[in-house]
Amino acid sequence: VKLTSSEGTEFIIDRKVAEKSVLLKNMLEDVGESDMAIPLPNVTGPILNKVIDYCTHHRDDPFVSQEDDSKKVSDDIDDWDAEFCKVDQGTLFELILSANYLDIKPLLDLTCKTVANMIKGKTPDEIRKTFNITNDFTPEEEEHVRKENEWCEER
Amino acid sequence: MTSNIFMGDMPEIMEKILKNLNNGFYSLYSCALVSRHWCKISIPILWQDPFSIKQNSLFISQYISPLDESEKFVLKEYGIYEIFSKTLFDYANGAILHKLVLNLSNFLEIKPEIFNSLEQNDQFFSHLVLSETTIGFNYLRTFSISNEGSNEFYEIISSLEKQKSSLQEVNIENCAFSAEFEIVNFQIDASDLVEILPIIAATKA
Repeated sequence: VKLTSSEGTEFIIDRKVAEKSVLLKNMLEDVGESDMAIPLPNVTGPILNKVIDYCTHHRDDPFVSQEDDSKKVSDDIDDWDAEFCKVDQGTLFELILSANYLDIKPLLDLTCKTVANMIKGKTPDEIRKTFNITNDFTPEEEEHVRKENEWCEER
Repeated sequence: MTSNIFMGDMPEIMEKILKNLNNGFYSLYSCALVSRHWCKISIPILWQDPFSIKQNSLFISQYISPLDESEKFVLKEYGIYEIFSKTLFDYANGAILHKLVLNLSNFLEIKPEIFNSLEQNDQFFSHLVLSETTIGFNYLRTFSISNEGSNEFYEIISSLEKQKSSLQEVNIENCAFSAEFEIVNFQIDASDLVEILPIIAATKA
């Protein structure tokens, strides 16, 4: 299967690897195999490379259905996955967006978990700093939210 | 660089991330205070199962406070005299409550009769426990009650019947096993309720 990233770089991968992406799987089923490259205008080359790495490593994993994500713990990331996620924040978020776009649920779960782990145990200020977020609350609003939810402070 | 995920572009991804925090109340609370967008996403997750960590009357009144005046009136009639301040969020409707665990010893000012009134007022009960009217298919799944005193539980038990199609588990602990209770229990036995609900009645001698 041929894929082209946003900047036009061509990637050739096994059909089995490509089928980790529900988007590609459906596309291949509809169109059938052809020599035409599938354009992925939302995914850059370096990110697509990472995604292919992931899909290749996990090519033999059983398919995970949409339903069983009710209870998950964010600690159960295996070594390979943890290593895979040691990237800068920008890359991590691009991976999330790509996993979402390509519909690769295990990768989306993994990357979301990784971000959740970055949030865990932090104060609001630390979270804002970590992800460079501007506080757009008015002081009154902030106080309101604080008061209404202060029951969470005791752990 | 701030990712647009965190700026409100993709709320479903944001939600997915925060759901990974499970019941990390402290972390979710932090998230709620980060910014407006973060607040909007984290509050419903935070309030899904709030009663499992903190149980006091002020807290429950906060949950109830967005209800309309007639509903509050019913509450007041039955012994809840909290001043209902306006809350920023409609916690009862915005959040999907999956689990309601009450420990009556901490709700001294709430008389068990309240559950009777809740039962009579269909809409109110659904507001309080499962937001049925606004969210179609999310129901209360677990109901637990534990009590140190010697209150009667007729009202509670019978109001639970309203929820029988969704409840999967009911735990009743330390409740005085009075004659009245026994009758209700019998009534529940007689109906098809018991088939649906595994009732654990750990009674105090």
